[in-house]
Amino acid sequence: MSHVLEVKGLSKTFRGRRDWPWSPRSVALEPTSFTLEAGETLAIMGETGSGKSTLAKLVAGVDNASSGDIYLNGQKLYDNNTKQRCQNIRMIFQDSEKSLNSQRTIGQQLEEPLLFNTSLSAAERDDYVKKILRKVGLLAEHYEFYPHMLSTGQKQRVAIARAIALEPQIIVADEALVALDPSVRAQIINLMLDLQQEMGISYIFVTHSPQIVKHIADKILILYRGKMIAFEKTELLLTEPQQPYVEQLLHEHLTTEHLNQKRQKR
Amino acid sequence: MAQPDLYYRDNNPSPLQLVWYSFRSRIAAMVALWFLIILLAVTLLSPLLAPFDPAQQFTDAISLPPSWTDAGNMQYMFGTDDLGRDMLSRLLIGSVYSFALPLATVIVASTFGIFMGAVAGVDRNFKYQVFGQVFDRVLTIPSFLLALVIIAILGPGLGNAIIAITLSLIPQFIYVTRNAVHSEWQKDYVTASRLNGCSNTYLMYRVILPNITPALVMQLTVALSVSIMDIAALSFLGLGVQPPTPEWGSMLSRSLDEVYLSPWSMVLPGITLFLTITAINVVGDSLRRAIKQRMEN
Repeated sequence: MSHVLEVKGLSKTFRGRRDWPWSPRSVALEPTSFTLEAGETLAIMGETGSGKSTLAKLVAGVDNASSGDIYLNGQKLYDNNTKQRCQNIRMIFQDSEKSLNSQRTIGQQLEEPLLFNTSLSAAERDDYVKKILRKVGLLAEHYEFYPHMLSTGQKQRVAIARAIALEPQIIVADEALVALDPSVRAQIINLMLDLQQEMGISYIFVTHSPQIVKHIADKILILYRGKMIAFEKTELLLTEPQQPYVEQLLHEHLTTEHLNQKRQKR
Repeated sequence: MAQPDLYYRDNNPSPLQLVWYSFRSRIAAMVALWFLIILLAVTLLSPLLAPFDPAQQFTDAISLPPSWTDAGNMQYMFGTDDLGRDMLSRLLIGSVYSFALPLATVIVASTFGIFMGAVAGVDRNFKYQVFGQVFDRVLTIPSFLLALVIIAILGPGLGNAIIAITLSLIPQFIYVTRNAVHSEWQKDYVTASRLNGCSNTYLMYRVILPNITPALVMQLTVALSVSIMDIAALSFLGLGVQPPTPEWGSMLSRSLDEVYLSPWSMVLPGITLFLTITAINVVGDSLRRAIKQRMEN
């Protein structure tokens, strides 16, 4: 069976703030390999600075990898082929507020991916954007709105609309749920799960919330200081964590209920 | 369906429009803006408005005071200078050299500067660092001194003064644009547009430009007042516009000799210069406040 996404030995080294050719490099991500199946949800976890955002950005194409390859349905993705990448892998950012251009209307921004990746006419794009807006639970009238007129939850919906506009196979969400309050977060998670069922999208979630991971993830990838230390099915990792670090990370916020369950098992 | 559409459009002012609404509510700003608009119109129409040739000498009316004094003559509304030239005509024609030319230098300098700054500001690479390091050093030299150095090489004259001022303004535009583009480039919305597959031209004009407009407009007003001051100062020193061309700075310089005999020949160009620069600064300052207010909301 071929994987939707196959990452082989992906690594990233950074130079310091000043990007001179002779500046020393530091390692953000050591060679990492993993695979992702269609309709599956992968959670990337780790401490701050463990390289989880770096990995997400490399997969989404924000940064170019220092080494390693990414294969999509067995096809190699090249750094300079942005079209191939953006039609299949889309990204949702941590802060929906910052990821929207404050000077342009929602409609104009949602039209952007269509303008550069499809051959739709202006009227067709218009209709399509309004259709997508309704799909994520907004109104066609939001087409004319500017980002500052929407609430945080609505902005996150716009960000999701932008991600699904090209009907991608994979969506990378970099801490996309952190800035939202619990009720809105639940709405957004449900929306994303609905879209996953409907469109068969694979998700890569970067998060540090064990509850969300438990709820949505099929597989978990754990990074520690740029190194991948675990890549397992969620149930397996939750019930039998091999390393103390993994256990700490996953059970840090678990409720007493889960702890009781664990005690009973013992 | 047409009705609700109209309703929504009416209620959706863009952020730039909001800045304009805020600007419009300031009386001083609007007065200054109208002053500049009228000044621009007068400048463009000055050959038609001027009652006399600015170089024409009336030997029967030398050093005539303005018309509102007892000794004045309505024929020469602002009086005449020590060679019997009509002050009003000289001020009107002078606006071409003192206001329109600086405006043109700013337009040329901003075109070059903004383009080069945009090229330099994109991404964090070697080009960005080199531009940054070089222009940080160049900007430590005041623009007027830079213009003087260029004049020293090229020699005095109107054309050379314009070249010198244009060249001395360019580094500031590069600096401001480079910094603005660079800080925007790192923001998520630009990354998002980049991931949409947008071309670089589209990114620059449609995505980044609307967001750096405030910084650019502010730099334009600053550059305009600096440019007017510089051309007046160069002419005052005799390095810019040469007599008998009626430039406000050179008129000031000439009136130094006879300031006790005919004070109006110094006061009138001085006041016009003062009002023009004040108006530009008030517009620039109000714009900055309007933008700040908009950002805070």
